[in-house]
Amino acid sequence: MDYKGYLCLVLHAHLPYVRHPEEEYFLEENWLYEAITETYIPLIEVYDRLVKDGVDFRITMSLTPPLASMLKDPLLQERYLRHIDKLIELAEKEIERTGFEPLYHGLALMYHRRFVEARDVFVHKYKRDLTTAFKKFQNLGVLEVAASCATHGFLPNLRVNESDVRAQIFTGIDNYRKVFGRDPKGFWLPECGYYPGVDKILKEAGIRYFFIDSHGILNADPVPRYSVYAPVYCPTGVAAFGRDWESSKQVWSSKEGYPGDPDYREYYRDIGYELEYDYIKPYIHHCGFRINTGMKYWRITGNTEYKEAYRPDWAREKAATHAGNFMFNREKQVEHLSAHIDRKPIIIAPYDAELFGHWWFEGPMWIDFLARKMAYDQKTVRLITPTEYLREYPTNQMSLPSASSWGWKGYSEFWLEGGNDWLYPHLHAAGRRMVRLAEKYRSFLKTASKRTLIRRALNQAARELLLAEASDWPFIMKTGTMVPYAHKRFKSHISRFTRLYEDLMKGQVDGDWLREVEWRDNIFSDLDCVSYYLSKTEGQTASESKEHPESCEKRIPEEFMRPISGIKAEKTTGPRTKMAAFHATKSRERRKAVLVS
Amino acid sequence: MQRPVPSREKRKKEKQEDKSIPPAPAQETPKTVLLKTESSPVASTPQHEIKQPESFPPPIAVPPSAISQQKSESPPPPGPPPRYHPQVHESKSSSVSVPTYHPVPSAFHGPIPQLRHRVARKPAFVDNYDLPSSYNETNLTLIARDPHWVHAYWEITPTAIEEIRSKIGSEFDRSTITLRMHDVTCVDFNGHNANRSFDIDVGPHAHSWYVNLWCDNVSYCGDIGVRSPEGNFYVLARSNMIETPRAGSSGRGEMIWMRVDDEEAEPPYVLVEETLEAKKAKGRSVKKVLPSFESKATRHRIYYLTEDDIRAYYSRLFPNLRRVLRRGKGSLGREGVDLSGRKYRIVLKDGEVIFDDILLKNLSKRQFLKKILGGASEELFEIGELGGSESAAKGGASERKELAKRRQFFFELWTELLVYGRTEPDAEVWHGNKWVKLRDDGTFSLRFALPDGRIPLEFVALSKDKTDKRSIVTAVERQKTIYHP
Repeated sequence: MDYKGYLCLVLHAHLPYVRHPEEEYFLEENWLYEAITETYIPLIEVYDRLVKDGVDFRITMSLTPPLASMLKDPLLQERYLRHIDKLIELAEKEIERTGFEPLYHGLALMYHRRFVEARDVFVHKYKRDLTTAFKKFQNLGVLEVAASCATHGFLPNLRVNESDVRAQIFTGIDNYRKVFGRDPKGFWLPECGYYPGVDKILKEAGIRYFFIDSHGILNADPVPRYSVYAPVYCPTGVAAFGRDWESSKQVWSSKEGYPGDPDYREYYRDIGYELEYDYIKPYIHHCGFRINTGMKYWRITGNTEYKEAYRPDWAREKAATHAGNFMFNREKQVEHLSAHIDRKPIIIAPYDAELFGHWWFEGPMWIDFLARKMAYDQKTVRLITPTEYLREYPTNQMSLPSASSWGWKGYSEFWLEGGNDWLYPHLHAAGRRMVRLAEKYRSFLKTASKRTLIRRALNQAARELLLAEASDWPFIMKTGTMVPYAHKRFKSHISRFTRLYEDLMKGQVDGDWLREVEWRDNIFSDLDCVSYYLSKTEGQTASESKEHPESCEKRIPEEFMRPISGIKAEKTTGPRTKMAAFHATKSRERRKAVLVS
Repeated sequence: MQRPVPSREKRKKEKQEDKSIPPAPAQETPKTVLLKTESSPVASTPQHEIKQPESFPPPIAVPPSAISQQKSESPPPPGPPPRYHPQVHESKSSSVSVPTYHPVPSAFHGPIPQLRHRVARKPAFVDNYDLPSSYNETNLTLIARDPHWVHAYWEITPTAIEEIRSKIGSEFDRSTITLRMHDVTCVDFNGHNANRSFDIDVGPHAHSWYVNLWCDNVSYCGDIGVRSPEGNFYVLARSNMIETPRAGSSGRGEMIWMRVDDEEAEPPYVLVEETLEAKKAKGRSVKKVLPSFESKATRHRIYYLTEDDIRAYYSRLFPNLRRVLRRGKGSLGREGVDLSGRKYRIVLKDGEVIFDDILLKNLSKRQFLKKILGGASEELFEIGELGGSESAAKGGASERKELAKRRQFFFELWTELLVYGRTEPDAEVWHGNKWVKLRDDGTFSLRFALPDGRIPLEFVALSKDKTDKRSIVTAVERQKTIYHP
């Protein structure tokens, strides 16, 4: 079929790594539970329905390593079950309580059904591990999951130490391999934070493309001919896809955007705050303060304090209308663009996945409608993934994007201002110390087994550093909600790192203390985190050796290294053959890796 | 989850039996730590949060089953995943027996019952929320925040201060801690060849600073040091090099293409078409880029660019990519290929660079001031950045290249022109058609960049009643600078 252009819907799913085995209940863990119930499971259900109905659709997602690790964590899975069971219990009570209020009764029934369904999807369909759902859709070819940084570190501020950037990227990619069983094609730069030079490391890691905000492309050098409507190749050959601001605004903006429609569900009225205290007490925070339960009975109504009851059928109609409107606008946009450029334009529409479902309750429904309408109601725009687009248009302009982010004001200010700039001296110093540690124990690391105390301590130090680097902490400090928690987390990671560093420099590690810390901060417990901080050869700094693509083999964990036997990339002089050899090796590895699995 | 009372009692007993390691200070340690939380401006906020877990009624980390396990050695019960139990279990028992966390206090048997009670309930793991107050390294770090702001933070150790004090003696007491920012755009910085520098007097107590810049897309490097009133500057630490982002679109419109497949990648290339007119006009083989892609007809030739070409292309903007130029190896201006658009052409003639007039006309006045007058020494590169061709960089770089080759010994020379004069305080002075501001006593002075070439100076003074008029005309010429290798 002859389409005039493409739409690439990108959902960026990320939550900070919050896991506190030392506490029975932990308020911030609810972020994950709420997102599972309201966003991830509804999205999975949407994909499942679309696949079942044979709808031709494509969605691109990124599932960051902290989120994937939490979804795979048995303790959090167990606790999610406890959470959803509690919600089902509450919904049952609500059905009874609202028996004489038909409007609310219907809503209580709706929530009950949703919770029961969510539990069923979680427990029976995907055996508690939701990453397998995304893996399944990726293998079906309807979903493309991009990799991301290890702990969502904001790279432009971490670039002071290149080792930190490398560790963030390579750890993230290795985690992706473990979770999805394949090499990633795309990469989501946290907060779209790009700076010239990061593409070099992505290239080394075998990445084909990443996303960037509009002005990163518009200010690229030389000026890209197709604006954001086609990717550009960085001089290293990694493609940068620019975000389209029109489609973004339509969905993002709380005022003009769809989510602010009066018929949609109001996020800020939750029965956790509205109902009588004694009644709701078992379902709010166990210390007694009110929190969101997830059951919300009111619609936005308008800019008033008075809210009317939510009407699911009205909201559904609205979601359908808005999906139609979004599609119509994209059609017009593509028609306009294709008159001006000599190829099929691609519109990149990236959003936070948590917007859909969690903030905008009808979001997943909207995606469902949009996918169906685009498949059946028009012939202008088609949903596509970046990889497919690059396959259709392997030739693109070369240009160097400008440093940028999708945050407030478009650069680094959100993560570097009066309230959070005190983090960076500690982060950078810890980054330098980490390299010092890795160098000190270089020869030891070559031979030592995984379970030696020193190696465990080194890995734990790397883990603490990664956790401290998460962009979530400066982000929370800037937004001003839950700030003490961010302070506490950052300080505990840095101080745990510092203690490990001092102990390791002395050569004495306290095994019991280490075990406790390992138990608390167990992210990437299956990766050899310290190896990412080792420069390749002795005496050579990381920056000197970064130009040889072959050397990235070193970064690949052993099980991915196994397949290549006897086939070595031929050393040739021309850049073209060199690249070809490199890619051929990569694909051979990949094929073999699939066979092995 | 409810914690059964017996198990708690049991643990309490255990602890009391173990007289050698009284647990009371375990509670104290984090408290003292809290009080000396470092003087960071935000440090006050987290203190509440740190205490928070303590105020929660049951800060339980261990399922009761795990504690009972401690005694009975029974296999882990079904339910929660077993991997957590052994770890908890071990850490529990160990933390009681490791003296590191519980230094022996003198008054353990003293009357502090509520403390002892709380210690028994508290998880024995001691976390420390005290950030290192110093890393004992004298250093300076810059982070580009956005096109016009740079964040700088530094640490100066007392030893570094002492060293410098012993070196310069009494001069130190009159000196101030100063942050010196060097604009090193397109410069292979060696400490002395910055395009321009400026100082910020930061005082002894600041540890970070937001520096406002007036140009986007520049490279900066900073020094932290002490500056004496005589102007002597003693560097304590030099920063990393940063590049600020571009605030607007790039002026360059070259079309460079690239094909990357899953299996292989081609190097970037340009499409080039020969035109006879150009040859005639310039007397040398100049080829033009036609920026249309689909018209890849027989007349177009593909020129693949090497990695070095690409580096050279960006060299003006990103000094750390300039290794190639420094090596003096190839550049983009390979024989016959010229990547310039038609608008801004800079012609290379006998190794000398001549600007087309168009180029200067295309610069707005503001840009001209900013880039040329403000940029003083390195205007050539700055213009190139606004849309010059690669040959300009090549030509411009040739001098630089030679300098760079002999980096151990460098020698540079720049000139400036100062014009000053005096008239009646109420008179008017014009330089060409520009009004010159007079000081209160009627004097004035003007400062010019002095590149190679002739600068005409025509000054007219007009008395207050517009009847008397004096004119002074002269010119200053700087001869073509000759660089002997």
